Amino acid sequence: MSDVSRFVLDTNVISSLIAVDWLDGVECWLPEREVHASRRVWEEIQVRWDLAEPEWLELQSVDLDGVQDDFPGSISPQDWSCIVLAESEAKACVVTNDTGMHTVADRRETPWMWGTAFVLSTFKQCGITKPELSAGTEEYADDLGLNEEIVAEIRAAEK
Amino acid sequence: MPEISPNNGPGSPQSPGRGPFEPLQNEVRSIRTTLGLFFDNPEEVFKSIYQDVLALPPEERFTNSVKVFREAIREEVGSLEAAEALSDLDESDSHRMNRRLISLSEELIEALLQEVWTTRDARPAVATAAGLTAIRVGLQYLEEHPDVPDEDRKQIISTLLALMARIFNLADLEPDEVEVDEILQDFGYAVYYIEDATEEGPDFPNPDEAAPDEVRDELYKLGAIIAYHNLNISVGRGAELAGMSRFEFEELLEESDIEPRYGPESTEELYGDGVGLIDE
Repeated sequence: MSDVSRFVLDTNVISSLIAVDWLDGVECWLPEREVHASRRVWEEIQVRWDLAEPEWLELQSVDLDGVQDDFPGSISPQDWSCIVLAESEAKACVVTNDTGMHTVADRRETPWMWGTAFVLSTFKQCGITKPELSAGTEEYADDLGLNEEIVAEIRAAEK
Repeated sequence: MPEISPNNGPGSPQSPGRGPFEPLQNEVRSIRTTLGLFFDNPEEVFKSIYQDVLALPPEERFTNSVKVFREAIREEVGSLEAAEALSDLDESDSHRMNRRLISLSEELIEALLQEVWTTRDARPAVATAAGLTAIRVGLQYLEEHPDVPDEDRKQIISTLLALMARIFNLADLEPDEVEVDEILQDFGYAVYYIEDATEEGPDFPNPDEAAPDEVRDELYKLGAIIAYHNLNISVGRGAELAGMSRFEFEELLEESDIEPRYGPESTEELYGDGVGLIDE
């Protein structure tokens, strides 16, 4: 499926990309596609990483007042800001590794994508080189607790 | 349909007329109605016992409430022999009661955790679940360790009685009469004394030595771990309940041997879930 015009990255995805120095590679999606994050998410990122926001990353304020859901306590306000941001634009999808987020997104029919699928897509888009992917795979997998099957799939990825 | 209500976050006031322990109060009222089947005048019996128990200083309350309980039952039934018949159950009765109490505590914990789905500031509910989980662990320990030393057994049962006294008393209060800090402090004592009786050394801070804020914060963390372990909430939501950053909460999960629910777990999920891969 390639009719995604906007990626909305959550905190965990951005943090995992920063940890292995792959974040700048995400710029490869521009200008055909946009990459967004909420200001709430970026504030969370700054708790751990002393990093200026990349120019290519569109940071947006999200008003959560009035947004309704049967299970508002399934996810945090930062997580909600990702969902609402994705819902505000046709062909946008939330990029997240968190299954709690997936459950909410599925219930609301909000498109979503695994963070690791986004990494492999970015690699195939030439945002991440093969040596960069190889060098960072172990740390990336450790950070997310990915199993051997997924690690092997990342290592075997070819353009 | 409820609003996400991001501004109704931690520290914000509860909804008007609704106390932070209302789910627990409702559950306890229901239990008391059931227990009323066994006593002629259960309200008076309960009130007399839990007032005596609550009058004890914490260290005695969580280690020696059994004595108060036995004396109260003796007064109620009029003789020492009858009191012993009621309080010294044979082994099969004891096991049956233990299992029933374990089941009851699990039902209460499950009911409390449901608050997490719908209430932004569900921290009192998860802190209560943490206190009740300690009770469940203590009862389970008694089931699995029939040769537990008498002092430890007495401490576990006294902790159960002390917490029941606090909870039963809670059911009589109006929302504006509930002293949240006092109740959370008791849940902290429960966790501490159960850990003390069932482990080599308690990890939880001793409420007699720690600041009330520290006890409360540790309960929130424990409750958040229990909520995350039992409900498919996000890591971010767990962090919110714990009052920590998500990165700190990830570390807390690791220390507690709980894997964050990040994926994918198979190539089938990687390519088949969500929008899949974008490969042009």
